[in-house]
Amino acid sequence: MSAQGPMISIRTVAKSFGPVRAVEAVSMEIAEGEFFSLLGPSGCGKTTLLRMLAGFETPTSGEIFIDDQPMSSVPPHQRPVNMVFQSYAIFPHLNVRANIAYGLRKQKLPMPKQNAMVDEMLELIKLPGYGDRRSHELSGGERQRVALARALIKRPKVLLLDEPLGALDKQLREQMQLELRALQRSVGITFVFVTHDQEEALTMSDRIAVMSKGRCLQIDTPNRLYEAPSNRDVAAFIGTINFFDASVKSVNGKAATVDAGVLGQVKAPVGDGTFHSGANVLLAIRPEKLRIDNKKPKGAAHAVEGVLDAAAYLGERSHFYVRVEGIERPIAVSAQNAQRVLEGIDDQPRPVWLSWSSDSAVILDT
Amino acid sequence: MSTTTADTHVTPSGLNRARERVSTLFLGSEPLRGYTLLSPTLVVMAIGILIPFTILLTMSFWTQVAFEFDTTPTLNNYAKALEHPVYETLLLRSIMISGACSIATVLLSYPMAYYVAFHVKRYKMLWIILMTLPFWTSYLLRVFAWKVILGFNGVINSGLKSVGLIEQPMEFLLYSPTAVVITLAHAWAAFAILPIYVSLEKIDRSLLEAATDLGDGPVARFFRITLPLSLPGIIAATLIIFIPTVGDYVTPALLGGPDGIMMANMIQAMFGKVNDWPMGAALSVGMMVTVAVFAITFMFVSRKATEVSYIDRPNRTLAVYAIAYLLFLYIPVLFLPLFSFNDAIYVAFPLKEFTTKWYVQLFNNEPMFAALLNSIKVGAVTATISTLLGVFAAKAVTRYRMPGKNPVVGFIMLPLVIPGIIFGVALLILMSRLGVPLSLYTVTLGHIIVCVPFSMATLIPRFEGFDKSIEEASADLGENMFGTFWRVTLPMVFPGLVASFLLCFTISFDEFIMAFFLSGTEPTLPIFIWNQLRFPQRVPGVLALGTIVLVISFAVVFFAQWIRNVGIHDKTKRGM
Repeated sequence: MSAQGPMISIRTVAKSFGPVRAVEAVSMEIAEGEFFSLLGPSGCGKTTLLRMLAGFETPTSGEIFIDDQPMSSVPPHQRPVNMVFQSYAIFPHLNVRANIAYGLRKQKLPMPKQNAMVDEMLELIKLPGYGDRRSHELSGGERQRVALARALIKRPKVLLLDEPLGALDKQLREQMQLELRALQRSVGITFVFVTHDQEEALTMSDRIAVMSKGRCLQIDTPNRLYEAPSNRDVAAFIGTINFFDASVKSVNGKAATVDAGVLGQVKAPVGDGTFHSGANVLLAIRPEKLRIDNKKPKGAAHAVEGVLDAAAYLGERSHFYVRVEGIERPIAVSAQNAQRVLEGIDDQPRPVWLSWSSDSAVILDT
Repeated sequence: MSTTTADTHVTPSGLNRARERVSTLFLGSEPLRGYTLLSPTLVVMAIGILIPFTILLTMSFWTQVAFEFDTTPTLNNYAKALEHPVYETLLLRSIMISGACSIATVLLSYPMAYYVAFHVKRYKMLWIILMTLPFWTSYLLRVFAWKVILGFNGVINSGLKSVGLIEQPMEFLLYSPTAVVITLAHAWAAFAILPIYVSLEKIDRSLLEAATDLGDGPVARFFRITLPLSLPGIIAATLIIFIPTVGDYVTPALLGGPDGIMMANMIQAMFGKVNDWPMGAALSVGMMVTVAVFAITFMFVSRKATEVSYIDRPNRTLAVYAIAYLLFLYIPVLFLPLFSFNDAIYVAFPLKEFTTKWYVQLFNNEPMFAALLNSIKVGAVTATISTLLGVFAAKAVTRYRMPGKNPVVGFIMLPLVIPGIIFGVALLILMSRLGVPLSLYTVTLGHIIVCVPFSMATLIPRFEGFDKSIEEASADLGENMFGTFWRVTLPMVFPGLVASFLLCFTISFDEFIMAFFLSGTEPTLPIFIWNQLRFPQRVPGVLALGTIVLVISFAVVFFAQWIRNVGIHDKTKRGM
């Protein structure tokens, strides 16, 4: 086995269900020990891709390699991967112990050895003493852990997780996110994690593939996906963002200067696509990169005057919507409530100033 | 593709590569896997449906010459059937009687089903068992029970006479179309109650609350919400009753008299004493086409028109009705045990001495035991094979995406919409053309064809009831197809398996008309009973036998319900 090669290599894999094209020519490589997420709205093809890794669906074209082995003729039960199902799929007719030991049958281990392994797993998932319970006696979070243990006991090369936290309530989900990430680090297994929750993906992943309509839009680290989205869809899907129409003045490698109307001339890094002078593009700025003030700020690289349209107080932060003449949609601004500078803002329209520094914007293809 | 390294243990030989290619093809094609799994069932059903029907159709164009057939194709049989008014009369009467019976049964059953669905809170399952229990007893005996009630010296006449209300027995009770309608309406009640109950039970209660909230009173709400939403159940019930009753043989033969004879009796005569098989085949084809036309028209019309029906009644009235209906279901059946302990050959009031001699006689009745054993054999083999075929088919259709799935399932379900007599006739012709002697094997084959759809219908919800990913999880954890089936699928569908086995066994055990056509010298129990009914001195023995069958059936149903409950219990728990 090539030590440096990727653990998973997906090569122009496509999948159609009759006339429906669920996945279109997706390619990606996932390194050993990586926590890799497939992120996208429902119907984007992420689950289909995961199921092709597990072997439950077969690519219509293309090939998947796991640990350098082509997978097309390998049935699910012989693949070196294991899966945590969205519904957990805990065998209802077996207790927790039998569920966890399910995959060990082929290894023909002596009973004490097998029991020791199961106990070790129960420790790992922090459910010691739960061996005799049935699936209906478990809470959602406990089932999730059992499903995890059942897969991990097989020591797979890759663990596939299909929205495993989707059924949990918010608090438990956040706790499980941390536990799952810690667990992944301690066992060192490659995780492929499917989710539609962008926050979850950003929190947990080493890298994320953003998918939409069967295509892979961008594969990058959470930080780069957020700060430097390569196209409009990614920028809009991850977090919120303001788009402004602009036209290119000049291009300089990975950066360009654009004319953004009332916002003036802005220099910013560019995403995917080719840009040339005069082309219509989008200038994208995240709400929290904008600063809101009552007066014109001194020394800001860019500033524009507008009218406060609406405000929402969220405790730790506030959201503002500001109308600027010449721009159609109100601009979203998010501000930490670190100081109580804007205390007592009501719904009365009043003039405000928006400003941002020169490295906060991104230029994207329309 | 990267180069194979030393770690790949097998050097790829031609054989391996071929195997790999087959494996790739098999894994890659879900339809292929699905149809492979479905193929045993499909083959059996194709043999059991297509071949007999082709030969039935072919024979309807032949001519009977003494004991031979003239195989020159001719439309003579159909011409004759159209010319002679007797055939038209019989066909019309069959349709009228079974139509009247279907409507009567649905109208009578709806309030019952409504009551249990909406007003029974705690003992729902008990009510359902109570409603369906009489139907697990022998069909033949249920029909015979009505002869006991309506007969010349039957319960009503002898009862009224002994209390002095009438001097002479009323003759119109028996041997009339009315008698046939009443008997059939009783015999098929459960088949109306259950689908209506299910469709009522499915109605989301918040829809009714919404209708009330929007200003509907109970009556308006019933007609605007409840009735339209239960329409699928009403349609199903009507068809489920219409199709078998239009081809019913037993009831008209026992209770119909000359004016109550139906098409099935004529078809039977053609294959029996008249000995004109091609004519019988033509009449069968005609009946099948008529049933199909009626069924399709009905489904089409009922989709548009609103139904004639009932007014929502206050609870207490409904409760009284429900109890009265239960009595209607039970009383005829309970006359069997009553008279089985009566020391008289004729079934009539007043009762004579208490006796158990009919039971004693029964236990010395060798032919009865032989027939019983035959029925058990046929039932067990039928139930085993049908359930096996049902499991494969149910798994295939619920687990795999397959093109053409719906037509294929429709084909397998076909026996549900074809009167049993036509199957009996078609298989009889096939066997005789092939020169296969009639025996318990031919009966079993016929029963399997009829039972597979029931098995599938029982098992499909079971398969749908558990998450596909549970089986995937097993494959993911390293089990192959057989391992997964054995360790996961089988335990999960086990209650369904038992239910299917019991259902198929009961159907086979109780089946008369196909066995009537297809059994050779060895009778099944219903055939044995049928033969006994012709001799008055044997009737008490039949009553005793009926009582025993009744008790055993009740026991089996309770066992089946218990198994089912175990399954349901599991499910509700899992849902928590």
